[in-house]
Amino acid sequence: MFRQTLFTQWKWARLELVFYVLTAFGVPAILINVRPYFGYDSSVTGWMEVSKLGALFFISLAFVCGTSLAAGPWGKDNSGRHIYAMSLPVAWPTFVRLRFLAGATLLAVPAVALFLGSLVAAASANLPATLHAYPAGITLRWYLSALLFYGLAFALQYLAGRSAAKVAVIIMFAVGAVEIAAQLVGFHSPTAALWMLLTSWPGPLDTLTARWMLIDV
Amino acid sequence: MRPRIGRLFAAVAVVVACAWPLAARAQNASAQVADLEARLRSTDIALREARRKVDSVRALPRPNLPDSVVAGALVVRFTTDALGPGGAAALQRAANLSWTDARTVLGASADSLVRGHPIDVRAEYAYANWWQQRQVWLSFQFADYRPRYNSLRAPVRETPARDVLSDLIGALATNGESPKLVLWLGAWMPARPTAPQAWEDVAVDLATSPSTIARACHVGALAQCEAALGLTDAGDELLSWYDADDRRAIVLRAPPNPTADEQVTLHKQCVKQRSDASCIAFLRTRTVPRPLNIDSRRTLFAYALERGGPNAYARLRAAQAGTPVRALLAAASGIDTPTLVRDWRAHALAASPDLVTPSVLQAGVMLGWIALLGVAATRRRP
Repeated sequence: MFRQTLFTQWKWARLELVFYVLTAFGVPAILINVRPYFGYDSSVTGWMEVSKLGALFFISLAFVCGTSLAAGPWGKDNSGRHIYAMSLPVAWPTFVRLRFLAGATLLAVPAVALFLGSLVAAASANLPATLHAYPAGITLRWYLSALLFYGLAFALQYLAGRSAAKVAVIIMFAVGAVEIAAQLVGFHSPTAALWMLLTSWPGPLDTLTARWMLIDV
Repeated sequence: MRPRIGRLFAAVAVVVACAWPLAARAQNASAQVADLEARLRSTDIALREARRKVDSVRALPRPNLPDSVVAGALVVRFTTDALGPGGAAALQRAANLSWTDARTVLGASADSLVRGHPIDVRAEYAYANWWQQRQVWLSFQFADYRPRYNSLRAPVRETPARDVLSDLIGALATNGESPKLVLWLGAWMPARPTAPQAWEDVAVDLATSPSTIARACHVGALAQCEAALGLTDAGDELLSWYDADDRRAIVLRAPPNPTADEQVTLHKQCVKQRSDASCIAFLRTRTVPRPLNIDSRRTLFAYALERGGPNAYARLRAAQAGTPVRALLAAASGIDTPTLVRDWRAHALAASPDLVTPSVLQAGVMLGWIALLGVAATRRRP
């Protein structure tokens, strides 16, 4: 059953996966090798600046991969009014679990590409003695973060159904409105406290505030 | 006839009053300069008068602070209402912690240092617009030592209050120290043990410093560590702290003053043509950056006090005026400076973190969150 689900999701997502694989493999190496053309020298500071630029790419890719792989299967199922899911001889929770695991497995494909791309990038970099490349570390962080984004988008999608996008927008506006109201009234920022809670250990988004550096000390 | 003339006069007056102001008559340059100088003088007089008034208000006897918390020799005076709900208890806890910190770093000298110097906490100012809750800011300051003060927003909380109290004790400890040491420490010395995070920061500072000698220290050239910490006479700092590549990297990130043609030319020659002479000439117009930041120096200082035990600070104060910083550190720590610096470096590198790879615990917790989200998704059928 899992193999069938995985195969179906692979067929749905293979084109975008190819794009993710190419991006994940190519961008680190490109970033490292074209940096002189963008004014980044070979000093330690230059390497750190490039690495920080790479961090933006890693986080963005994790977000895009995770959310798109979560939203895709729901969209397909919903276009068929979930008749396929209901006709299967498994309970709904089991079906959702299979969908979740299949998507999580597919996320490993760009993760492997990212690892290989980072290895190539690290091998092509002539680093100062005090800096090191972390291809395995950054890949592990990337995969876990992509899974987390995937989990968040998947949960939102399957809990809110067709209103998922609406709910996401409402949440964003609500957070903004609460923040503005609190600032006007002179209270301590409630969203800052919430953000701290989410992004500090052991909050779910703790990984976002870590150092996403392919090259670091 | 008269009323009509009166109305006409009134109308003209209104029109004249509402009319756009006439342009100032043309003046020659010297007249303009004289005018500006006159305005400057009058502004200066007004500023002096305002300062005199502020000083006279400051000189007024300040209201007594009826409440206080005591931790060892540390006394903090305040008015309970100003601290906000739970503020007094939080301040007591903060005072206990910062006093323990001070005793750890400064030893028994902390008693004589702080005794007789109460810290006053006063409601500095409060503000609120009609739609706002009233916000009160509190100033923390020694009653008799004013150069440094800190502010916190009420209600007082334990952790920020502890930081503020430790900061003030550090400022008091700096007062009366050797000017060389004060300059080397950036005019403030730590009065609390170095936090693990600070050691991590030293390791990162050593590895990412723009200076060759600091990075050489990181990879094991111990002699360079003292130079990177500013403990040796560097002579021409620009030449001894940085090599040609370092200098070019610094210039690359230091935009020239666009109105100074010479700087722009030097910058271009340094960056594009890799002319080290131009880099040096350009950097001569700037302050030479330190190889390691002040916080790294402070960790060495705190480490010296820690190595020296309870009497380290007393030995430091007993040293003669004019003693070089490296000798002061040796006196405080009770060991020679090369050994102290070697151990400091080893301590820093041991704290060197792998900040990229998630630990097993971090990965486990993240997987837990992911599993939780997966389970949550099964709770609702379409």
